[in-house]
Amino acid sequence: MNVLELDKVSKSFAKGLLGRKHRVLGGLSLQIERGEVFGLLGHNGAGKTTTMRVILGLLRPDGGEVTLFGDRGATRRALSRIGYLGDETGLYPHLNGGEMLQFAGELFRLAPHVIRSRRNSLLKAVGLAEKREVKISKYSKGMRQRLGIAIALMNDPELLILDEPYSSLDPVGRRQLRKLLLSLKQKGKTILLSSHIVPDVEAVCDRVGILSGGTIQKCLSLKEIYAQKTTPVEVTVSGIDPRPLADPVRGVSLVFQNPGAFVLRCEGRGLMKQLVSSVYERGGDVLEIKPLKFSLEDYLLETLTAASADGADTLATEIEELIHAHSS
Amino acid sequence: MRILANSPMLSFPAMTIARYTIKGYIKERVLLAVLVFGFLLMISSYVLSPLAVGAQQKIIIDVGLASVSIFGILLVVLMGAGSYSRERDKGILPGILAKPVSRVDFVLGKFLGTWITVTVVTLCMALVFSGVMLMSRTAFNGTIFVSVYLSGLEVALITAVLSFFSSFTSPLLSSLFTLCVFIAGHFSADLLEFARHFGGTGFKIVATAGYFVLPNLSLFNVRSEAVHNLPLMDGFVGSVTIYGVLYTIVLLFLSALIFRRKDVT
Ligand SMILES: Nc1ncnc2c1ncn2[C@@H]1O[C@H](COP(=O)(O)OP(=O)(O)OP(=O)(O)O)[C@@H](O)[C@H]1O
Ligand SMILES: [Mg+2]
Repeated sequence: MNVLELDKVSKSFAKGLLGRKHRVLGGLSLQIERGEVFGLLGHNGAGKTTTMRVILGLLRPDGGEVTLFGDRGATRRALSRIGYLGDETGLYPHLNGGEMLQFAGELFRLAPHVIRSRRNSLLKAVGLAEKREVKISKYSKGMRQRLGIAIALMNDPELLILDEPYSSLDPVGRRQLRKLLLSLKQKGKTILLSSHIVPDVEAVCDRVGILSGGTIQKCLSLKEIYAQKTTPVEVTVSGIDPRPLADPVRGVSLVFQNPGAFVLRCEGRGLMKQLVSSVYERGGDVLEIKPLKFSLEDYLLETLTAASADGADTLATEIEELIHAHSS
Repeated sequence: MRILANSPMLSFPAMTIARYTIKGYIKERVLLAVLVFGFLLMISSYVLSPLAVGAQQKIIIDVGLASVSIFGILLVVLMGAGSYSRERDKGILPGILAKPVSRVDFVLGKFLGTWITVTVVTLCMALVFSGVMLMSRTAFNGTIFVSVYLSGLEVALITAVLSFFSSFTSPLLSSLFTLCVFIAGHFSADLLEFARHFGGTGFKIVATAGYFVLPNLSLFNVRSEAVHNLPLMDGFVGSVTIYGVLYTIVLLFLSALIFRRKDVT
């Protein structure tokens, strides 16, 4: 069963007072199954936060439909089963950590004893047990993020919507969050998260959607990708000229050559074995064998630069031009 | 009507929001500043009033009741708008509305929290005012109590005005508009009277429209009757109460209606 369904959702924002519209989402469709962890990737301004806000009913979509737990739209019933961490953590500065969790628990109408026990265990889980009496205005950014994560878990939600949950966490915090997310996944929770830190996404997600131009451009199942047997391998050879061994048609090609060493790429392990034995037969030497792992990061960058004309790369060139203009 | 059906008037989340709104106000500096200033004003009316021979008691009543009323309104405008804006700025509002809290709950909770806080402050001022009256041996009369009661009602109405403006404009503007409504509301009846006698047709239309759209706040002002210990008309308090409550409910209803269609970011 799908916990979350978006059907051709579109959303524009008025630019300035004179209603010229800036289209952010244009017919975005997405289904997330129960127990699935879905990662939403995309460049700054792609509309990840907007998508999440539309799902939660904070923004009204111009068109399309959001279905949560089989009901249309973000009803009270649906929202009580969702935990949300926004791109701003949204904390009252005059409260302390414990009070903020209390507030969240009361808004979810949890029983007082449930609030008490969850508050304590969650503060411990995010490493804020000692800071519970400290005012949030005196929290560091990472501590606020941790508290935001605790709030998102306060109602023991079935669906978690996390907008850049890893942001401003230290390396230890990142690893803890990874573990936390994996344990939630094991408990059968459904998670939708956005992030720019690709390895963190890779570590926990089953599926990844690349948001660009207002729709999900690509949806990748990481499970399927990693299950593929024919991962390419790079073999570095020295001592002989291995060019005669290259056979692009069968899947062995020369990628790189410098004095004394050649790098050949083989599609699949069988070809690699053949190549290595022929190199030794001819009196050559194998310096290195390196399996080429699928890199989500590279893939993401390729997709994004292909899809958007005003993505990160143009920004980089603009900055370069600026620096040039200043130095000359 | 569906809004009302979906959310019982005293739903839990609204009360929770009201409670935490009050908690937020308690830490406000403005609250303390206004309280201190109000006290000082009342005390000074006691200290300085002997200068005006014979009019001492009248001055004490007038200044005291005016302080009770004006400082309540000032608190709503200064502190209430700040509270509404803080929720917008710090991403608190999305956090609240992503939980099972409807927008009606939020509007109601915010209103109740603000109104209760300011009413408590008003009552504190009234208490100090009674102290000043006792010290100066000024005689109490029934209209003084009515005046304090009507101030509380006026505060509710003005809080609803603030809630209305906050549902669609920026905090600064809603503060400003609320203050304008307060001032215009006190003069709308006078203005209509003036227009009837001296104004042209255009002016008459504007004044009449203003009179019917703006709350008629001069109804809530019975200070001169209190000062001179004049009797109020029969049924006056009852009909003003109904007027104030209805006006407040309509404004809250409109706030909820507008806020429900707004994007929250
Ligand atoms: N309230 C708003 N009013 C007008 N435009 C908005 C509003 N919110 C977002 N936008 C615009 O919508 C686009 C998408 O914004 P969004 O915050 O969803 O991006 P994002 O993918 O979350 O980016 P990031 O990675 O930086 O968090 C941006 O161009 C932004 O300018
Ligand atoms: Mg974002």
